[in-house]
Amino acid sequence: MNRKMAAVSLLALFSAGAAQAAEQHLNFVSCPILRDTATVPCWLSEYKGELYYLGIQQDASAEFYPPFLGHKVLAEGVVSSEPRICGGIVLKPVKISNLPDLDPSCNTMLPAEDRYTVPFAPRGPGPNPRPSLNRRPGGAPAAAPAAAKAPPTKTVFTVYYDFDTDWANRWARVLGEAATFAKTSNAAEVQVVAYRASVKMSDGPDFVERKEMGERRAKRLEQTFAELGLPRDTIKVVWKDAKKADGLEDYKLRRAEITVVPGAQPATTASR
Amino acid sequence: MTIDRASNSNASRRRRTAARAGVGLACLSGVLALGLAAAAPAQGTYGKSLWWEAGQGDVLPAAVDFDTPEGAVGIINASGPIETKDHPFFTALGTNGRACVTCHQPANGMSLSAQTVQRRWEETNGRDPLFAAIDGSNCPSLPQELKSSHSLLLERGAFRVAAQWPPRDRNGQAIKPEFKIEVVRDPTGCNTSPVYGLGSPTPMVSVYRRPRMAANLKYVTNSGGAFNAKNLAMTMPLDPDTGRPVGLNFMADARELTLKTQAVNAVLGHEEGKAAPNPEQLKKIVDFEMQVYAAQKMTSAGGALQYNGGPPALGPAAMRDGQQGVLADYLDNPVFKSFEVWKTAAPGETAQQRVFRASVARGFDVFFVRPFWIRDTQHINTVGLGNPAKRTCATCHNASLTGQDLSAGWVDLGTANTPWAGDQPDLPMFKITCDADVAPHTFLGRVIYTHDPGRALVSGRCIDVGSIVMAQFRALSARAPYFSNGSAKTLRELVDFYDRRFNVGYSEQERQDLVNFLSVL
Repeated sequence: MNRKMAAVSLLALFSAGAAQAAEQHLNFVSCPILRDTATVPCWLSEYKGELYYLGIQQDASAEFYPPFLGHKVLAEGVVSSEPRICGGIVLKPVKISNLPDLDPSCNTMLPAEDRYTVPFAPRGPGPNPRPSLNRRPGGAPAAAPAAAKAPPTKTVFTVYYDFDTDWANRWARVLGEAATFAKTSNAAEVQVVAYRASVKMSDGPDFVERKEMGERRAKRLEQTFAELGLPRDTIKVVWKDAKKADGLEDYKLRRAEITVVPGAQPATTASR
Repeated sequence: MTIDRASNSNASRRRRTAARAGVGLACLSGVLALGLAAAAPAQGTYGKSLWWEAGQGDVLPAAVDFDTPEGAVGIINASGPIETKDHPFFTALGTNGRACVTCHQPANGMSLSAQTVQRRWEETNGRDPLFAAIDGSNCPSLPQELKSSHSLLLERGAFRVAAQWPPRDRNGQAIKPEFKIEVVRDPTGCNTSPVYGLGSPTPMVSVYRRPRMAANLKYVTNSGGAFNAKNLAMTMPLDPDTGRPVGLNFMADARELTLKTQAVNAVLGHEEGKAAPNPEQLKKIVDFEMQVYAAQKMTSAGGALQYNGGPPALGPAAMRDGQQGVLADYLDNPVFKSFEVWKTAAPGETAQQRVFRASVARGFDVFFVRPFWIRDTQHINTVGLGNPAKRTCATCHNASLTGQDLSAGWVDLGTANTPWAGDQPDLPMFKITCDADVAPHTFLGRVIYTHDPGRALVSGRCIDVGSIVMAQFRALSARAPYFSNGSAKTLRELVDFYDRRFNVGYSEQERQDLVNFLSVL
């Protein structure tokens, strides 16, 4: 590495570090709070005496799925500099997971007040502008299958999970794409690696998923791909514990990686 | 068994007369008012002559109307008149004298009302095949000659459904349930029966459910794709014949994949057949079911419902001509189209019609745009809406023209589970205890008391306990009572349940408007 390249690398590292240092990540468990508005309700949560805005009610095709009263919620977000919404500091991006057990103490509904409005556009005429269910969080691009006519290459599809759940809800489209690619590429093998993970909480010890969660995710995917028509003997599943959480984007640790290894391709017939 | 053949022949003539009358839609209201008033017994109750008996052998016309307590229900056969003689839908294929038509009566919108059941008991002294011990009584082990042994069918219009326990998966393998099921109360004796109960050599769970409409099925069998849009990462089963995903929307617990498999199991079960129908019979049954449409066609207070310039969703012709698979919770394409035409007076309307039609139009607005807090409803609040969600009736009842859920629609509305179902002493009560290592029911936790575990009897999943597939909204006036267990005897009771369940706070006017709106569908 010459001196110039080293300087560029150092600068890049510094920039990334500075950006990260500037971001305040918050990971906490708390009761969700609903605040009504003139349109749809907004969702908040309180942490250390401060109110945080999580998102608004939309529908099944939205990226943000609101929490449940009657349950605590795990919020993993970045404190943004945007103006408060519904009285709460905006966490953006934010991932939430409803914790499975009931908690009747989580039951706060605040009435609508004129001073609180939400960024909500009512559904207009015509088809839903969002593509469908199961859009990719953050608009992440699809793991593109190999270009037409080029030989298919090994491709990795990744799905993410809410905390302590083994259904890859919101990721059905990716699962479908993986299955389709496996079929069209005559997959020799579909390797599933599913992870159980933890979250580094902002004010306490790591919050760890149930011990069997990696195995459950792996076996659930094995079943799903079999139901989607992939031969069981081509599906190989393993489960692991993810790397130690660092509190930054821990939700990305709760994942499964599906690697589709194309098999032998049918011989092409030369055209005249 | 005594069957009044003369009455049935008369009925046949009356049906044909009504069918002819139906051709002239412009004068439909007057013709029906005269013709059906003459045919119907006092107080608008069903005449026994409207009963369609297995093997009766008449022609079911291309269009025919039957009187109902609120007016008339219309039936359309899109493929033309149906010769029912030897037709497998209308012919007993099993050993107990029942046919499909026994529980899917044209006069009841291809379902069966409790009122019709009661009338049939009186007509036959309880000896009609309808009351077969296998599922037309509270339990086969009870003395069948006693009316009390058939109380759930007589009072609720509910048949016994015996679910194999544990359930089997799509490949016939036993599913390990996520919960333990115990019988807390067994008023019918069937769940603790040494022959039919959970402890029997072939363990079964007996629940009691209403028969669904065998009409408008192009909507109900519509398929949405490879994944369940409400349980997003769950795949949909495939039709064994076509290899395409099925819709899982036409049985209360979605246990049957296709109309064909339903017909097979209905013949083997409800009709106690010794063998499944042959392929030709199955095709005729399914072909008939896919071309028959039913909807309310006239109401006593509002007059004709299906006429040029009227509300476009009303009447069986709208069902025949409509498009299936349309998500209709958008303002530009409402579930039941538009009732704007009924918001203003029309020439020739009577004062009574004006009042009623205005009420229906308001009722549709209440249904479609009045928000309330939908709360603690498994498979609704859990599908990206949050809990609670501020939405309307049409959020869940979103499929164009039927008001079902376009997605595979099992939902825990609370009609089966406590606390919302309340204590219904004539129904069994089960205690469900979810295993410690599975996700509990999202809003009821790990211990649930239920009259009917619903979809969980098929899936074995804790989160499905008490979830029932919602039924279509058509021909409601012809087939009371409502909900899968018949717990709402009237449309008013149905509306009141929702008001209580979601703390909606409907005004008296809104309740009546909703009832009137539902009554014309």
